[in-house]
Amino acid sequence: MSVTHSTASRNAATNAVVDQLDGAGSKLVFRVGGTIGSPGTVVATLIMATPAFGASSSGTATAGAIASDTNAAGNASPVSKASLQTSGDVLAIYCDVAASASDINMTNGLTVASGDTVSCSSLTYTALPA
Amino acid sequence: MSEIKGPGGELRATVHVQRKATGKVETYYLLGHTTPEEHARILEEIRAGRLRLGPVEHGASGSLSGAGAEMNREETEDVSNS
Repeated sequence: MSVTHSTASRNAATNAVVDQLDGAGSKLVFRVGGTIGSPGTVVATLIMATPAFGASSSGTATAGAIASDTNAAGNASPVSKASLQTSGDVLAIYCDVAASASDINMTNGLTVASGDTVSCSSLTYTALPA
Repeated sequence: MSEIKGPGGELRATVHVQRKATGKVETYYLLGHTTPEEHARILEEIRAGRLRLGPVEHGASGSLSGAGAEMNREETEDVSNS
């Protein structure tokens, strides 16, 4: 049985998640492996705006400006996860960024070398489908 | 009692990597979904009453639709080290 959410419900759900990232210094972190309970190895860390996201519209929140990581930790393995977390490293979102069988299909993969600069020019989050 | 499950949240990002070795900038377009455990956590927030689903409207922009997943890479520019 499918479930349909109203726009108000979708906005409420998205806001409930991204509001956890309202504090200064929230982070977008690219990782290799891990879970939300046991996060994987950090590849790059980007500092988000304060608050990290604007209010949800049509169920989607758009992030403010995100600072680059100008000296990424890097890893020989492709990035397979991304997390959005507070400055105190409390994770709000953990996202699969793996190969075709996973939630994100990365053609050629995203491999970051040590010292590379990683930036993010746009980021949106939607908690619930319509 | 049946378990309530559904799709997780959706994240979309445009990521740029400037290679330290070459100065080249590569652009990646990410589209994916948050993990099942994240979705379960959201549902638990709803069940526990900590996430209130009500008439909340805000005015920020942003749109996203569609399921599935893809990522493309392109090299957008060369950056001189000189």
